[in-house]
Amino acid sequence: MHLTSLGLNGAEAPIEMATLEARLDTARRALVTPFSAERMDLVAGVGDAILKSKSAISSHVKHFGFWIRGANLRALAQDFERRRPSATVSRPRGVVFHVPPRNVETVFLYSWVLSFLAGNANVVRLSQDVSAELSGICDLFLAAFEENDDGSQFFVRYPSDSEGSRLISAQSDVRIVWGGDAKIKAFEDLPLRGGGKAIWFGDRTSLCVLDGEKVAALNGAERHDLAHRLYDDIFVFDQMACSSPHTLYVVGDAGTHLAGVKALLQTLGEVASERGASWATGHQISKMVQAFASAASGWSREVSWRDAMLTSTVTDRQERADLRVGSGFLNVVFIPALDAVNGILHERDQTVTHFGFEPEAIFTVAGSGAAPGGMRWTPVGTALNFDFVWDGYDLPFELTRLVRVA
Amino acid sequence: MFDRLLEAPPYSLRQGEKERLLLAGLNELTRFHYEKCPDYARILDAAWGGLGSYGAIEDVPFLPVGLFKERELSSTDGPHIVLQSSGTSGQVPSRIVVDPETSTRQSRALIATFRPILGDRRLPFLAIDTRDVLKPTNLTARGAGVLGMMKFGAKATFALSPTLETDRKTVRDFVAAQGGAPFLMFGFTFLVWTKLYEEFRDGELDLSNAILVHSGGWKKMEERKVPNAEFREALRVRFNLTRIYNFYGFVEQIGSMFVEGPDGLLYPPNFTDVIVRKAGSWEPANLGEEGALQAVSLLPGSYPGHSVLTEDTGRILAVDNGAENRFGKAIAVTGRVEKAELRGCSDVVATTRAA
Repeated sequence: MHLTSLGLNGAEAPIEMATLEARLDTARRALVTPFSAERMDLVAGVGDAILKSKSAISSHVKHFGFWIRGANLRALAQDFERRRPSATVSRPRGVVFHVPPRNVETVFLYSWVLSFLAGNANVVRLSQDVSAELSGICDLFLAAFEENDDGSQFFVRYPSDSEGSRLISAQSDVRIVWGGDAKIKAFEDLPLRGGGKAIWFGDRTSLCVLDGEKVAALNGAERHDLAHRLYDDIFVFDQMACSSPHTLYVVGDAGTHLAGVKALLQTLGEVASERGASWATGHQISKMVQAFASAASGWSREVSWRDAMLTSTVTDRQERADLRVGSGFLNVVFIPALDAVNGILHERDQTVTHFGFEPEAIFTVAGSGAAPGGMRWTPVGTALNFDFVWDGYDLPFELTRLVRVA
Repeated sequence: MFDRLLEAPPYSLRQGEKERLLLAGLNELTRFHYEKCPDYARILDAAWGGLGSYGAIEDVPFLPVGLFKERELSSTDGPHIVLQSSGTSGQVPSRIVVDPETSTRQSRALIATFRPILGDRRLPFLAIDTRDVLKPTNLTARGAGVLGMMKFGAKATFALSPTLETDRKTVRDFVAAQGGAPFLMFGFTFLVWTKLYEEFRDGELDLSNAILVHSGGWKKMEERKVPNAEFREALRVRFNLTRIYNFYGFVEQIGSMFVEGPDGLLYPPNFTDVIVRKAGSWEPANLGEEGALQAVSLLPGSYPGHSVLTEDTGRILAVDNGAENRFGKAIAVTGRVEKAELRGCSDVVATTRAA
């Protein structure tokens, strides 16, 4: 099997699996306590380096840079400490194996950083074709590890049809897999080291709920601001991130509120254009096909397809919209009340972005549905902002263990 | 109207006159399909502001061809067949509803288009393809092309084996058997190039009596960097083959073929026309500007395919230029619209560039 380990400046050296296994075993016996000052400083230093970078960085990498600033990490550590049950101490779990998604590749950095801060040894399987931007971030971390003489962190590559995943799983106490159903299936059969736990970030869909009354009442500047926030949720990963919404559920009725929603969508198209979004002609035509098919089936009573950035459909039905096209495609569904969202959510739904509701109303509706689905409620504009509570997991606690001390 | 357009020589109408005649027919077809095809009516209502009477062919509503992969759109209650065709095998096929009347129109249109090239007699036919391409269900574009052209030929001979190896003896025997009389050859451009030209590049093969009709396969030709002019010149030098006609057509408008003129440009015959549209705004492009091709045709009666936006790109290079008495628009087809890969959390959602 061709296993390689990443070094500084993109250097990649072959490594024997037996050697990696031995190093992981050594690392497991030299773990550090969760949220150690040394590791927090290291991560915060990388955050500063990302934000000070001279080269242009994408918005999601910039967000990561902000997320790992010292102040944010200290708040995270304090929160973790505060929530720890009395008469316990926390300890790392051991070796954590990370399998990032192939496409939205930077998302794994968050769970990886949390695992690093939790004091674990980590091994990350990188795909063959990572972006230059991600390579750059890996480089910053690798340089910091070298400076701190930390030999417990690994970035490796190996062919997907090899034994690599099985052998590394057997050495791992935790495994985090990002990806679709097929990928999860492929890892399900690979046993972890005795007592190991698996964390899955599978296929998810997301949606947005708006108060039609509030949208209709927006003035130009407010509408523009909301459009910018929708842009952040929808356009950053071509609308293919799990937490990007595909349907706007508008509390209200079309007769009263459709005009306001249309004005918002038009502004969103303009904002997307200003911010430099662009779609290949083939995608624009695919969106047109899906919008027309939706009209032909009778689902949509109105489709808007002449905007180069955004295609949208409006239905009279008060039901879940399952059409997910991506690259700037939104379904608009009117619902009678906020709590109707609970009847719409499916098990795979992750993020519900919201606008125009009181926090108490959001808490009430989030708390009243016991059905699975709806793992996160967050304001419009923050859909892609990673949080340490993700897909139902409290990651700092998932990645540590508690020791009862009585 | 249709008869009048069909009876005149295929490229005889000046653009202004042609648009005037086509517009009346397209308005009529739009109303007809609106009344007969509920899917189409819902699309016009939702996406085009309802049924209108249009003042220019650019204003006539169009459907993207991909819609025929999503929906079986029918404007007939009577007997019909559903043609299934995909660009390449394995793709989701388009489903085209064809009733006897539309089928007759398609045949008449094809005859009107090819008669000036092929004459009135059915010529011996050599397909640069394998007999296996004629699968009964879900024809590929290649199969549909061979099947369509077979109607113009007598006793079809196939030049390729099922694995697309050139049967050199069959080809030589076929050519020899014609004894200097004209015959028809048809194949996909790429197969003509690789399986005829490249196979017989070193040998003697006299094709001076052949009429070659070819189509499709531009992408592979582009990869080999063989432009149309070079293709024509190579066949002339090697085989003394000069009667060469490229054409452009697609399954959603069977029977509407744009045939290559002496200048190497493609001409829509009288009963069809083409509009180049700019991506995004979908406004008509300027003369010479590249965009997505929209085709209008008076043939589709049993399905609402009289105005469709294709996924091919091209440009209009001349209008009413009169080359060998060809009038109307003259276009070059330049390729397929681009589809970049979409990112996504899931590893299975990635969409790749269209084939």
